[in-house]
Amino acid sequence: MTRGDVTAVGVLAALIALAPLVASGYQLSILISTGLYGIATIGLVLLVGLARQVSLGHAAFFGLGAYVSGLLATRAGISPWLTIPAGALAAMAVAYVVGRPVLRLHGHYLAMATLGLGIVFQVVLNEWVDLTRGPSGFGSIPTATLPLPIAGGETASLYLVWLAALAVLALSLWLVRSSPGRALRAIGDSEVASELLGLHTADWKLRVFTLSGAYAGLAGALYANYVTFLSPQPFGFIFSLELLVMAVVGGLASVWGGMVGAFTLVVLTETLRRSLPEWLPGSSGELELVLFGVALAAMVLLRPTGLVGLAAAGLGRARSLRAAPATAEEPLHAG
Amino acid sequence: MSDLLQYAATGIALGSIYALVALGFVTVFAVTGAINFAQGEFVMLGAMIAAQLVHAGMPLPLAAVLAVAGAALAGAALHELGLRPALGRLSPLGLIMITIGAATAIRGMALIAWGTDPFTVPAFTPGPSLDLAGAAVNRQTVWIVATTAIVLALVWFLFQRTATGRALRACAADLVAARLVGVDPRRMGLVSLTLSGAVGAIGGVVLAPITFASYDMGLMLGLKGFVGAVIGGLASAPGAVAGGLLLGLLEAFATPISSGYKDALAFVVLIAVMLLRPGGIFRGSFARGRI
Amino acid sequence: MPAEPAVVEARGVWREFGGVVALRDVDLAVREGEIVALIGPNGAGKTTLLNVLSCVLPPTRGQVLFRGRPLPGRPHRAARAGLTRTFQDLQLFGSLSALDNVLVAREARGKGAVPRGDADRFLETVGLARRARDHPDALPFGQRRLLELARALATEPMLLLLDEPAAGLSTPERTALAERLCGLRDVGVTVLLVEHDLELALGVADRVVVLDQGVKIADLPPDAVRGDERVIAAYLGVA
Repeated sequence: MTRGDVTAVGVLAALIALAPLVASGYQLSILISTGLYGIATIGLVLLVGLARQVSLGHAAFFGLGAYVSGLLATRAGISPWLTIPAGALAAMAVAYVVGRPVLRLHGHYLAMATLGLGIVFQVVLNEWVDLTRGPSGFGSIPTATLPLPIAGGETASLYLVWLAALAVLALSLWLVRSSPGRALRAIGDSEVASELLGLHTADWKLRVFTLSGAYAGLAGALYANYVTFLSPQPFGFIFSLELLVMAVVGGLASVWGGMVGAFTLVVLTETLRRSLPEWLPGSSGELELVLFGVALAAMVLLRPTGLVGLAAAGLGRARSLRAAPATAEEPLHAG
Repeated sequence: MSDLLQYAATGIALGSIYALVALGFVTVFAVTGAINFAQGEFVMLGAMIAAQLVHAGMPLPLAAVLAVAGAALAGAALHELGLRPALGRLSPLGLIMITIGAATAIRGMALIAWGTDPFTVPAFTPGPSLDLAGAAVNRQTVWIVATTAIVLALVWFLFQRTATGRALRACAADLVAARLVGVDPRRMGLVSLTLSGAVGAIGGVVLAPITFASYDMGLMLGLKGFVGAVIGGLASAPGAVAGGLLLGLLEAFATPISSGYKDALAFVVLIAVMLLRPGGIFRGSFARGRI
Repeated sequence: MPAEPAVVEARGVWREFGGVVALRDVDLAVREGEIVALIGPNGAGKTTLLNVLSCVLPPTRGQVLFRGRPLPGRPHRAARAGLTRTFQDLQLFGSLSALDNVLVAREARGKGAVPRGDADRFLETVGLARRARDHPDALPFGQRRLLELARALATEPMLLLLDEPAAGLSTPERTALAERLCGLRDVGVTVLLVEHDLELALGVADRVVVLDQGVKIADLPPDAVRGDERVIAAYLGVA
């Protein structure tokens, strides 16, 4: 981590700590969502941006973390403080097992394999009714309570989620600048050259895949803890896509980009959800879907470095996984 | 025995649709190198537009033609707006995201236009099921299989006997050589996408009476058609067709075992097929095939 | 057969792609401390042979021995055992600085993180020390080739396989390259280079192997190459 990173994390932590004093309930919920999705998105940034692998099925890890955590808490009565890490570990384990064979694939094949896995997972959630309660889902998931005299459940959730998010942020920022981070970037740039320098690329790819699965699982477990009700419906392909969009919008080029992307998308969807019926009476999710699709395609075409790329071009290379100027290779570009 | 035939009939019908979708995938992929995620949406557009027009009183044949034309237009638009600026500039992930974006946008527009309620479309020749060796075969199934066979024959003719078809195959086999003999790959990309839009839509039109047309039918159909294409090796049109049929049969025969899990079956098959290929990095990206 | 051990040896190597035979029963041995040049007309199979020797492609038939033992299944193990290569199309790590490119090579040897100064000296030996912080795309082409060479040398290899190291270089750059290659011999690195530039290849090599349409047609000292009938026929395309 650079000194700038450390300062930024510190400032962010302070802002979050003070937020409940100034922010409305609605604004707090936006911050919570940002934290949740940010954790998962950072995992994707590491996988897709750094190591240049693809995953169109990350909703499965998120959902796995959510369900494992939720089921352990409701069925086995285990404390949320244990079920949340359990959810993350479960996702991590599955990512490890599944990643080994799947990461032998590349490009389109890998994309479709991860897509397929995501769909299989959602089908299992729907069909294995004895375990998961099927399409109707289940609720009353107990939330973790912080041993602090704070007012309101939203605040507790905010602190819990951001405790995890800041830890993930710090860990990832460190990782990116470290020796393993260099190795991953090298593999992302040229798998064959890395292999021939002595890097066991299969192992490395599995490691980053597993880590990103763990992040998604952690986010899912925190999500279950926050919304206290789970059903299979949200954990499908569209959600995997949304996570990918958050990563792309943020720039796929830096860990901070993951947070920025998550925040942007959360704000955008909330704004759309609230304002669209005012602008166009009668419309709601549908227009959102269209705009979403068009925005994705447009962003990918016009600005593959995303929002952080735009900003970083001014700030210099200080915070990027990739060099900021347009001449540098970007993960979405050919070759 | 009649049970088996029953499943086989369903499987062939389903497989025919998958085959059409798979054919669309392979055509676009072979010529442009892109996996067109919006392929399933072409099927949906065919079904929905036809359904809408029929409900508005238009005779079926005319509605079908307009539906196919509409989807073909959508394919062309996708190429010009989405793929053309991207090809050569974006990595596989980038291309996938563009087509996913397009597919999502199309789905959203369908949602706006038609809402969430599915359309019912009357069968082409209403009547009781036919009795074929003890199996009750839905009349529409016959339409599906017959239409698919005709479309495949026409496409075969296009590829093998026309100048455009030769140009398409040239692009699929060797892009550089094709350019050298004057074939414009961008025009061929446009042709391939328009063609696959039309082919998909035809599938949608014949499928609609059986499954109900709704705005979100495209996703699964597209994905399963892709599985069929991968089974066939993603490198040849006949392979794609065979793969689609095979998948349809697999799903039909898996229905009695577990109807809920059969959706997952397609993807398990997909992953198994892809893994059994020796697709290591040192083979390079997979070669453009022949169509 | 010479008594000295071969660093790398191809025995009866065939390589087929679909119906196409790229390599046909090729025998090749490179002895320790040698510089061997692999030449031949376009499409002769030189890069394919290099790919097979560097463990990137398995031979369809035949065997490759490295330091007396069969090549391991995965290339990274061959790399750790002392084999390294450069690429015709320059596979540099575009998102890393020049220094980091070399650093990755040092760290890839499995001993964990390595101080940055460790990598500096390799940049110095190719004269790129001042450009340590630059990314490959900011370097002129000739320097990018040098960077790739520095990165390869940073693994302290026993055997260095070079794929067209002079491609795209200007004349003074080629001369400098030739000197460096000769210098490698002095530090005990064995070199096999694929090269189109005959003058460069003949100038540095101890031995020249000629490939044509997948077949080894000659294995000669450099001075004998220009006059050899088979070589001339191969390049002129005479059947």
